[in-house]
Amino acid sequence: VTHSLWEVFNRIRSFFRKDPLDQELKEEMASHLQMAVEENIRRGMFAEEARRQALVRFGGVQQSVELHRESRGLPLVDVLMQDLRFTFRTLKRDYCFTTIAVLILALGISANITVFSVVNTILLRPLPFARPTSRASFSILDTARNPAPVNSPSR
Amino acid sequence: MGQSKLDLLQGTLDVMVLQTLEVMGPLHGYGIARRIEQASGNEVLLNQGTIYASLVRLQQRGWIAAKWGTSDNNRKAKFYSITKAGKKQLAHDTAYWQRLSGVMGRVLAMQGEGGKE
Repeated sequence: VTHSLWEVFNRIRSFFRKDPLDQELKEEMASHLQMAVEENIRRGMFAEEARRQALVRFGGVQQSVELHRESRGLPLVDVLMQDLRFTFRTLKRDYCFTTIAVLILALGISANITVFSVVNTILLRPLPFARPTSRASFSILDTARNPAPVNSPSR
Repeated sequence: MGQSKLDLLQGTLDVMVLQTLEVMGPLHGYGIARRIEQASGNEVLLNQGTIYASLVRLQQRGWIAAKWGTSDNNRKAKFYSITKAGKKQLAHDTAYWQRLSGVMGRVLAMQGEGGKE
């Protein structure tokens, strides 16, 4: 269990130290290839062939670097960051589209908020009384001036 | 052997690296790769570059330690050595691989019942 914790901790640390780690790996690999070339020359190869053989045995410097990065860091977060960067680059390039999209979103959201806050205060929130449903309203009608309501039973 | 070299199974390289460091003492990446190639009788298809992914993984788990030094021919190189936790892990992995290869050997040697084909 301890080693998994260490690994997680170290992976996070490596994620923030990409450049120094890549530099160190580059030096390490250069030294590796140099040693391989020297050994091949000792075995009687010409310099050019020795170098070619060393590279063949190493098997793809760039792939090894990628594999190293994946093993030490947070490849998922790396991919996510790449996607985000790509998104923002695309949005920046399509300036018109971005502006219109943002405006439409802004209008939509603000209209929703406005309508909802009105509906909420008027229709949804209960009246600020103890038993709001048992309230009644009264009004006095001056029947001399105004005709009584049509549905009045007194007529 | 030529073209028909063995592809390494997932996780086998890590054990080979630990074993090499346990037996040989501190070594640089190139030394480890060469030792594994020799010990396996050149039957393993090892792209030497992949050893660095294995090394960083083992290092991050605390099973090996690394520090820069100079090689026999005065070249700057990073030397790896096995740690106490690494030795424990190696003992564990060794037992696992021996059990697994024993089981695989028995299953693959299985014969039809009653001596027929």
